[in-house]
Amino acid sequence: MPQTIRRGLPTVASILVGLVVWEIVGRLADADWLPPASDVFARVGLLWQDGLLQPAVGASLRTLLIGYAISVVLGLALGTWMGMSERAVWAFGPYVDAGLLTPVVIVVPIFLVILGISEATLIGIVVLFATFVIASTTRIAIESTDAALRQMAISLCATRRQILTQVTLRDAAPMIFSGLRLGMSRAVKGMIVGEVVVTIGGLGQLETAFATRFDATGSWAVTGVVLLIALIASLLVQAVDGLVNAWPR
Amino acid sequence: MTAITSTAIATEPGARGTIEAQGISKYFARTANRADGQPFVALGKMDLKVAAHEFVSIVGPSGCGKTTFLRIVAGLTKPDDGVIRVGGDEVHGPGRDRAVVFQDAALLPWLDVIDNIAFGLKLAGVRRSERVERAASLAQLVGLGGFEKAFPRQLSGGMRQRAGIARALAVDPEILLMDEPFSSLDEITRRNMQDELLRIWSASRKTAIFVTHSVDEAIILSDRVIVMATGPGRVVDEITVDLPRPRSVSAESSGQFMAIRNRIWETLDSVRTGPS
Repeated sequence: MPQTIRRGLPTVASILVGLVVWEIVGRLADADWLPPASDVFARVGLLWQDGLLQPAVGASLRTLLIGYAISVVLGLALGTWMGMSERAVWAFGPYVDAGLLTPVVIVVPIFLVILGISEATLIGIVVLFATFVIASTTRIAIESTDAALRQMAISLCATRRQILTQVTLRDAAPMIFSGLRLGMSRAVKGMIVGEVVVTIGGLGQLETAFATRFDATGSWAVTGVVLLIALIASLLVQAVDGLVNAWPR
Repeated sequence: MTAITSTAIATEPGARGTIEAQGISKYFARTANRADGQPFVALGKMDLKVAAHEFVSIVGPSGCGKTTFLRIVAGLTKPDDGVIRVGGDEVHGPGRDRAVVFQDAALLPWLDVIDNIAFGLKLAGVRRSERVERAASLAQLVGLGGFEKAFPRQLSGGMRQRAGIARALAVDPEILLMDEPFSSLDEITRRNMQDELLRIWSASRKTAIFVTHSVDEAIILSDRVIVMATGPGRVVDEITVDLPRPRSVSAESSGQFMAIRNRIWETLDSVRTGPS
């Protein structure tokens, strides 16, 4: 049996056990707020058949991907700059710290005022959620790189660009990818928060619609889809991490 | 007969592979444990000439400035006073005429042995096929044949140092600068590496400066041993090693070897005033 499958078995087993427990508790409790897992899966199927799920998933994914891509570019650039320049830390450090520590939700109304009820607002919220954790982790990753490796490259007449691209960023890559995974999880949160607040489409709006109707099964169905998207997105980042950092550590 | 000579080494000024240090001084800023406010003098007006193809070892206690001197020759550290000339040209930074073998090998953990050896060639813009061919041949030379695809984490300490030496040789420098490359190896591996280094060096006869804490290692490897002392870092003795090469284990029990070793230790004992 391949090692990847063997290592993934406990996860699959844990999820299956969780689903079985959910099903049993859901049936025994017979409560509106906790439908059995089978009912939730059936609702997901219905939403798909009715054509309600596809446009919502499409809109959410579009917001997530554009927002995350912008966050990655901004976060990596800012984090790398701060990791290499003390002056940049003094200049941008307070903003990054504030972005990490402040609940981003409180600035959403400001986004609404500036950008209105639009996709740009949704993307802006995702960017705000994800950028600072990527920047902060990248900065720490760059600062933690091995100075001896840079000295070695300098002794071999490496240019500044060669040192950055072929030594520093490569050395920092494993930790940078940890930041990218954290950034992805925050981007998914930003996507849902934005859609719940702005309500112009996507899974967040669907969730709000079910919640206002006290349709717990519908809410659980959307939550499950969001969880699935988050899981797949995280696995994709992990897969790229595995490709980029494929050396024995 | 024991032959020990303290010499002013004659070098042909400006010849390729020569090193000439004149009045090299290096100060480091005052540290918390120095209340006198004076900077720490790592090197105080140090003069040294190394001839082309010569193997010179530098021994001395911690803090005597031997690594600082090596870094200045490499162009990694700028002296506060004095001039270093390599092949007649003043050193202002690292150059392709010099290559450094570092204490911990400093291999890039994400590259395999071949790509680590070829790293300097890649930086220099050499085509991949050419650099892989050269790296493979150097891997064979340093005894890493069969480990070309291994990553640093999969190598022993001695193997990592072999790769470090091969990487330095790959750029075909005129001067090899080695900073305690065997200090973290066990005694048996260290002896093997000394033999290997001499074999590799004999094939190329590149000018070499080898920094070490081991008096025996300095004698086994070198044409000349420079003894340094602390406070300030300075040369206190130079001893030419006339032992024939290759130097086997039996050479270490020869009267000549013992006499050189005694002289170095007597010199080190007589100047033992600095931090240990």
